[in-house]
Amino acid sequence: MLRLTLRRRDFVGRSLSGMTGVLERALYSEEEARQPGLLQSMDPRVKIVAVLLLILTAALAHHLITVGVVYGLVLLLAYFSNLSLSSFAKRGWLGITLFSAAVFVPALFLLPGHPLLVLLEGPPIRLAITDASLYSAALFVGRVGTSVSLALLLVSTTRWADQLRGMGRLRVPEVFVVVLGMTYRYIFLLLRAASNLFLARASRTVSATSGAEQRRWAGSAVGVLVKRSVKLSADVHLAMQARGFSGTIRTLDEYIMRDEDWLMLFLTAFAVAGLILLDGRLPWG
Amino acid sequence: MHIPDGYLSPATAVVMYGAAAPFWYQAVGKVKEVLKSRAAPFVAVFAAFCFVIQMLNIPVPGGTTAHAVGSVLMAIVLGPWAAVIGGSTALIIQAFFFGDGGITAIGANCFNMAIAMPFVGYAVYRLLAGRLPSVRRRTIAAAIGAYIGVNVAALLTALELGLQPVFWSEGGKALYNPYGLGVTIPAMMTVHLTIIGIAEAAVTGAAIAYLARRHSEIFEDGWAAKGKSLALGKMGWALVGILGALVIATPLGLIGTGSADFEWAAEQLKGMVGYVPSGLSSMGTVWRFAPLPDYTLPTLGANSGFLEQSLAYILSAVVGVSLLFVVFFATRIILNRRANRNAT
Amino acid sequence: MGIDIQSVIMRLIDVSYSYAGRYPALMDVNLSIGDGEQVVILGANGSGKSTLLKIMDGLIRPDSGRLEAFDEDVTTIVDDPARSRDLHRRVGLVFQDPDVQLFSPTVWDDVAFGPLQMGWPPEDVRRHVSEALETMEITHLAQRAPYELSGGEKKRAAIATALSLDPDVLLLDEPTASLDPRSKAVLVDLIARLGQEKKTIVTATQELEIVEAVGSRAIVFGDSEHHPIADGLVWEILQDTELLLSANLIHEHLHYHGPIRHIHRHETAGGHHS
Repeated sequence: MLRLTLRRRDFVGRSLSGMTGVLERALYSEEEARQPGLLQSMDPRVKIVAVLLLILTAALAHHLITVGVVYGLVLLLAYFSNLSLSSFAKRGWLGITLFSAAVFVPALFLLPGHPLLVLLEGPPIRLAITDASLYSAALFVGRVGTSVSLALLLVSTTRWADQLRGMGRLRVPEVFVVVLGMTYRYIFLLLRAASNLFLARASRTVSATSGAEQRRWAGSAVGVLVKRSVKLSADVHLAMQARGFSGTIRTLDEYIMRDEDWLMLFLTAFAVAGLILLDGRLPWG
Repeated sequence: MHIPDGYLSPATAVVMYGAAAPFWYQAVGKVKEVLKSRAAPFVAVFAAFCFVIQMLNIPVPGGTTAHAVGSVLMAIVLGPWAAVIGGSTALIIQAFFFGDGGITAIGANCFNMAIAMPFVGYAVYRLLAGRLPSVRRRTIAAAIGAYIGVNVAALLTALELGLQPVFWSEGGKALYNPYGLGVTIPAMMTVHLTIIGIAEAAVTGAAIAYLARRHSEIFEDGWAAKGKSLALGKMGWALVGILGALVIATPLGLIGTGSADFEWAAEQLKGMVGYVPSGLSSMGTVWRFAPLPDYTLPTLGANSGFLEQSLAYILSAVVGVSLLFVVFFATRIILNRRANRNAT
Repeated sequence: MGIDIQSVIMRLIDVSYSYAGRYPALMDVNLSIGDGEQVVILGANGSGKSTLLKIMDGLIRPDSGRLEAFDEDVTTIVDDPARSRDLHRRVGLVFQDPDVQLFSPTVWDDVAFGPLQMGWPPEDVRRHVSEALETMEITHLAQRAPYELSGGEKKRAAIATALSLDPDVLLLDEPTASLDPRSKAVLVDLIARLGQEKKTIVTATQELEIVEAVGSRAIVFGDSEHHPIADGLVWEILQDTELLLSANLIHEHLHYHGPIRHIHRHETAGGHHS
């Protein structure tokens, strides 16, 4: 991912704020998912399937109106799940969506179509925003924002542990579910280890150092993390064995589909199939 | 380099899931077979490691910083097959929980960064490092491997993005990523050949140097039961070969010339592939009757009506059946509630 | 070695182990653990305590010597998954680093991991999990993720993960390491209570202040010998300053300013009686 920052803060500070950001976001959504609400009370399997179907609908849509309807559904669900709509909307549209909008700006002038706003006219060059390019931009950015919001909706209303159990019950192989769970858990541990390395450096660095020295240091910090990971994985394996693990993972099935869950599932199926059908029949433009 | 949702058409996304699937399948099998019960903790911790690596800012000449991907490093330490699983797991968690990369694009992102990148990087490292390398040679081999690996991943990303306007546009309207290869390739490659490639090379080289000096046992065969069984294998070398050919075949003239015009892109494709799929030109008129135009196979040409009709039929059936169930369960919920209320 | 044991539950005979064949951790270790006994293994860092506990739990195989548990020779049990599982059911090991032990998404999942691996029916799993959580007084933390816990809570959760298998022997590796005084007191209390219920507990530690509370017998590992240099009643061992000094468990300063050590011990003694 291209995440270049133009601010002239040094790499240690930036790494630290990035890592803290991840920890905070994860803790915040876990906290949010504990609040009572419509989606929070739903079976995680239904939520996962519903969100995936809606993301697929947004991806398949050829019309702005279809994407709009999907986003409307997202907002409705967020509202009934007691999420703060302003903060939810903000988190969905800032970040990658805003980035996508910026990315699209040059394309506004490159796509052919009926010109709406002419910036520069002088053959052979014509810089103009066309109706087609504006529509494309809205569709593109709307699609990105809606998809991001959908993923956000799932994370904000489903605790991580429930998502994993939901996946397990959706016949996702158990090894995979367990690995995902352990990965998520150890991200926190290694992030903390990495933060400590960077903090220790920040507290020791008084004057500016050369770029080559910084890269060498960052590399050895990564080496330390590799070493740490090697030891950690061996120890975790012993700890699993100590409790009887021998390669096959067993879990407990705890979810029962209630009528409400079935209702939600079929409502989503209805909405998604209907939307895709309608999207294909709509006249263009 | 993480492609978000909305940039790729569903058809491309499906193709990329399809491309990644056999590698995932093989990787799971190999890692399980070699690591046995150690597989789960091992892969999990290294996936977490991979995630954390991507959070670190690496200083690059010129005063800016960039993030490394880390999958070549993982391939050198754990073997490329373990890197496939570790990298993919990290990407999946990023997509679901941190909005980094789209859920529909998981296949593409994994193929670029967790399959192509570690395989190519590892192959280059192996070829350059030789049998019993010195610390210096190992470091340089790792750095070059990482540099090439990340650039191959970037090129693949650029190709996937750049093909979108060729296939999926209607009446001049872009449905997905609006830029053709003429824009995506130079945009991705300039930044990766310079800034990001250097960050990747620096961090991989320095980490390998550190490990070779302090913990050389990691490179001994037999460590983590790596040995030969987790090395590239036939499938890995085949992929590396295909990607190598792709890198060489990508016409250099493509870079930096022409506009992002769709017609241009289609022409370029014609030049590259030699022909434009027959269904492609008629896509614009077909879509109106197609519920799922993206799944219209270009090769079907004029006969595509049948496929579209059956899809429309299935979708209508889903609409009808699910509506019936909605009514059924809604009634049940209401009746149950009423019964409960009467009971209390 | 002046302790009479009623019925031996575990026995190590001439056990040696070294890492990578180069770095010795244990050399010719002989010791026995009696049923219902609370034993403290005292030793400084690097004296081989952790390795000893891993061997006793059948996780690593000694290079030489014999390990007996429950009247069976279990020296080579590492290579036999079925028998291994049985030993792991009966002997619970709590690792020093709770982050290693808590690898599941929630505390509940972690505590249920052992019982589930044993293939117990769901009701039994649930019952054992609730009991273990209650014993360690962390029922309210069941749905928390490990990274949401404090150091003391993590330790208690880690012990609960071993307790849910209802083991005959509980092995604790440095249970109070890097805990604040309050969490330490709570944890020591909980361990002492388990001991009162006649559970066999082996606690490896280097913290003299907790010894009296968690055991009645102490085995001292030398700083460099890699085997026991003393085995006796806790109060006898704690008074043997020369021994503790040679085992690197106290520092010279404490010896020369003896009263400090005594005041310190008096405080902890009062602490866990209150």
